[in-house]
Amino acid sequence: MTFLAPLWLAAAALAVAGVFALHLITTQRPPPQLLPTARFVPAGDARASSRAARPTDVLLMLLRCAALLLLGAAFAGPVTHSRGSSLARVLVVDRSRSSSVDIRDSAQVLARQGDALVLFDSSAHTMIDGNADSIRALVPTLARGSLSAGMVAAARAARDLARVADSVEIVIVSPVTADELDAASASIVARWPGRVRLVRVRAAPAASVSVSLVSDDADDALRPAIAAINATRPRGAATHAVRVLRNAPQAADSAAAREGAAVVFWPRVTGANARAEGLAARNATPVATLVATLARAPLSAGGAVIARWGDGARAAAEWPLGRGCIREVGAILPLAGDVALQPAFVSVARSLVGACQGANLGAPAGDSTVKSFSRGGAAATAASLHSEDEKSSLAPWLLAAALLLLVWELFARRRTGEALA
Amino acid sequence: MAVGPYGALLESVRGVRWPARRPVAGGAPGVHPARTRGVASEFVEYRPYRQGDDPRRLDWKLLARSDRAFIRLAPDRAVLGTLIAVDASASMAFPVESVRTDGAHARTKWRAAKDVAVACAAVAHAGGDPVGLTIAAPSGLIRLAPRTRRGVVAEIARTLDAHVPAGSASLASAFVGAPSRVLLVTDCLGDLDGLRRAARAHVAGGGEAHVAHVVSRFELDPPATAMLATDPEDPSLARPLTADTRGEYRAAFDAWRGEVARAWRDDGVAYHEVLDDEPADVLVRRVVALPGSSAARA
Repeated sequence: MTFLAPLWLAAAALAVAGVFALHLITTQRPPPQLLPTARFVPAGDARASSRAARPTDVLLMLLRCAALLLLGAAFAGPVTHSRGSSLARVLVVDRSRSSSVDIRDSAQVLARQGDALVLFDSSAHTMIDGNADSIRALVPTLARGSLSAGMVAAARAARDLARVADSVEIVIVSPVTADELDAASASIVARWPGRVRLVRVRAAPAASVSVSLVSDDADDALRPAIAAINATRPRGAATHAVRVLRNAPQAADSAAAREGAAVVFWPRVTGANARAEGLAARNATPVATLVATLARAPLSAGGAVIARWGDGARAAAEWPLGRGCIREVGAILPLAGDVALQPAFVSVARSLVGACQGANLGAPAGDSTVKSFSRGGAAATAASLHSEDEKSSLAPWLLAAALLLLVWELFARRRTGEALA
Repeated sequence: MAVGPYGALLESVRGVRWPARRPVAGGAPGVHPARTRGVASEFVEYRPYRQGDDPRRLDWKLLARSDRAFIRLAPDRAVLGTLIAVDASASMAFPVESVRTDGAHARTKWRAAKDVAVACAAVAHAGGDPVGLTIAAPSGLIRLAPRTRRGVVAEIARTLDAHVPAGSASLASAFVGAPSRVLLVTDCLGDLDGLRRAARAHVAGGGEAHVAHVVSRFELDPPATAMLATDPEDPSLARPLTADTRGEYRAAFDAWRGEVARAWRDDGVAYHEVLDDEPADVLVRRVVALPGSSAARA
């Protein structure tokens, strides 16, 4: 049995000690006794304080002490749990796009009977039973990971486990990439009252995209660059579909974007006024730059900037759509020339035709950041995990018993008063 | 002589004498020096013969030598009537049984008063003095006239044993028609002023007065437990005696006892404080001793 607010027990104990002391120091009429020299006693109130060696009115004192203890116990909120094991674990497994397929092996090694399993990418799913099957079927998804979501779900699962365990430990199995962290991640981990073990696994290969060019021109200048990008795609990595359109997007393109694809509208313009320009893909790591003869095309307003011209103007922007995105590229390639064959252009194009907001995909978080998520010490105790809204089923009964005792005390007090009178 | 429980006490005071504090008035022959001159063989002085003197008292040898007629005078001795006046008010029944917890405090003030009264009566009677008893009871005075006959001490003891302290009564009227020596056995908690007035008058008339002021050890040092102290002679007087008021009570009681002793002595009365837990024979020796004697200082 544990108590949600054990300080009430201490307060009740203090109150009981006070009642005991008051029963030793009674301010009642002392027993009359003959004393011929009573005239020499100073005149005063016949109801004088007196200190007795034994408490007076033992029944009243016992009733009051019992009522106080019951009240204290009721306010302390006793919670009875049947503990199955001394230490339970919550296994938080990262199944986002940042994880490689190795995550399954790590999870299988770490998982044991009775653990709660939290699988997270952009959302978290908690499983108490059937962990083995879930881990066996674990495959990284294409969604971006959110460690905050995983920790919140883990804390919730830990509270459930605290009902049957003395202490709970959280084990995070994740590559911990930068895109999985947000402003709340550190504070959420810091609020966990016990040990957090971080098992860092290998991250998925970065920037794995499958780019398809939709163009009616067989000699499209982008074809070599896109072929080069596809040629460098690592094997085994999760792939993101990217559709590069040379003409205005159609309804099917929008549908594809909603399903998760990145639709890149990179127009082909003839007769554009090209000139020497600098182009930098802002979201590449490191930043890819290109200096070539290019023309500018206007972009729709808004959107997240993907690339900028040398003068800071937007060269490419992206708008989320469903699970994917629509991207516009305003850098017009000249119809003639070898710009598209230059390695610098391929690097810039890799960012421009990358996955939606996926420029940082797989970039590992810094060591100091990772260290802040791993906390030593003891596992979180069950008492520290009781939520504020947890109710004690015994408290109403204890309160009722205390009230009954107080009523009894009232009658006992009246009877004692009548006896004294 | 059937003296009941007083046998050991009377045995312990056998041989003790109770001398008068001043020459007594003449009377029946006794052991106390009298103010008159007698015809005993012990010579004191001569006095010229006066007509009417008994010629047998002439010092014939002196008359033969000097041709002057002188009478030989010798000290006279007389008896001293003694009255034991005992206060039998309710306060003398203290401490009650519930307060007495051990053998050391097994006697009440009444028991101590009876011991002193019987023992002093025995001592006076042994000196040939007539002894009487007066008990001040609510129903009036119980008197036994002073007698010298045998058995008067036992009669005094029986009378005392037959009485139970109760109510309140003044001892002052005991002095009416009292013999020369009066022993008051009281706790001085009754009509003290009236008693002192009567004693002063008695002393002024040539009498001798003693006071045995009976004090209980419990009155000196009451129990530490808090109590509502109630006067047995005046139940309306009830005051809380607690650890806080105990010191003031003892100081007031001590001051009062000192004041009472001084007042009695100023009145010419021999004052003796008698504690209820003191041995009775010691008390009696102290009461009957002359001032300045070793027994009086004990």
